[in-house]
Amino acid sequence: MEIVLSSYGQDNTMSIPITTDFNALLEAHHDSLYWMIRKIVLVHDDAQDVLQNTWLKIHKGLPGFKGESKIDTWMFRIAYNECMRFLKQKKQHYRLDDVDNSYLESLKADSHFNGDKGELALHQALATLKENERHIFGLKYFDALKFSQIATMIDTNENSVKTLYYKAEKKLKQQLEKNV
Amino acid sequence: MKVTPNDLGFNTPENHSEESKNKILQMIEAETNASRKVRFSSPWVALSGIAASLLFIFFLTQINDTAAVETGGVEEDVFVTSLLMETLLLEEEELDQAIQDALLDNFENDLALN
Repeated sequence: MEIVLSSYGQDNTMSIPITTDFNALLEAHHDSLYWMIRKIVLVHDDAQDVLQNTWLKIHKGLPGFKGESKIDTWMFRIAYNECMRFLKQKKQHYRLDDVDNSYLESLKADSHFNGDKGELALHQALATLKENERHIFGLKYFDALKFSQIATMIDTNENSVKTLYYKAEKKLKQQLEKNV
Repeated sequence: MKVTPNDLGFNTPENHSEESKNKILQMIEAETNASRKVRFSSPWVALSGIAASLLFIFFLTQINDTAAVETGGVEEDVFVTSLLMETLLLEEEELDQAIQDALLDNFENDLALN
């Protein structure tokens, strides 16, 4: 499935339109997008729905992709927006402080979660973070994205992302030490 | 050391990755076909709409023409018109008298003509 992109590359120096193979894109990024989504929406079935919507949007938006950012950042951004839309619809926004029950309940209700005590303790600590801190921490620590990529994805500046990440990391350490 | 998704206790059904990719490709194919159908059928819908509008306008024009012809066919009754003009400002008794006179004159005129 080949798609002609409207852009001419990031540096605007290419003289021919870029053609991308959608199947290759799906093959290369399917799993990373799934895990990114899964860590935000937590439940496998929900993650699968969000993933499908994300790929439909990627397919639809690909011909208009202007190459202003890397294609994987653009795809992660679509996935992140879909996650936010999903969470809003499901009213699964987590409480700002204290351990959020819906976070842990969602995990326990998912048949595709088999965390042991240690893993549950990690999730318990993650649940104490503010929603945006948790997302930024996850994107940086688990998905190994760059600060600049995360900033583009969530439409904010890099310094704010760094501040939130380090704040989240500190809180998480304190929480884990407290639990141990 | 980085934590992998499995370290978070998450797992997926067997062959999830391959099945999911196939499902996504099928969904995209179905959506592409659906939008293609809409694209193909839309000119026919537009043409039908235009044809229906033209027929409707043609029908309306025909009705107006008929009405105009019918209106043109009405002839002015000279007797009634002149009677109305003459009696417009008269009182009731005078009006009766005038009508009587007019009817009589008209009758005599008709007799004379015949």
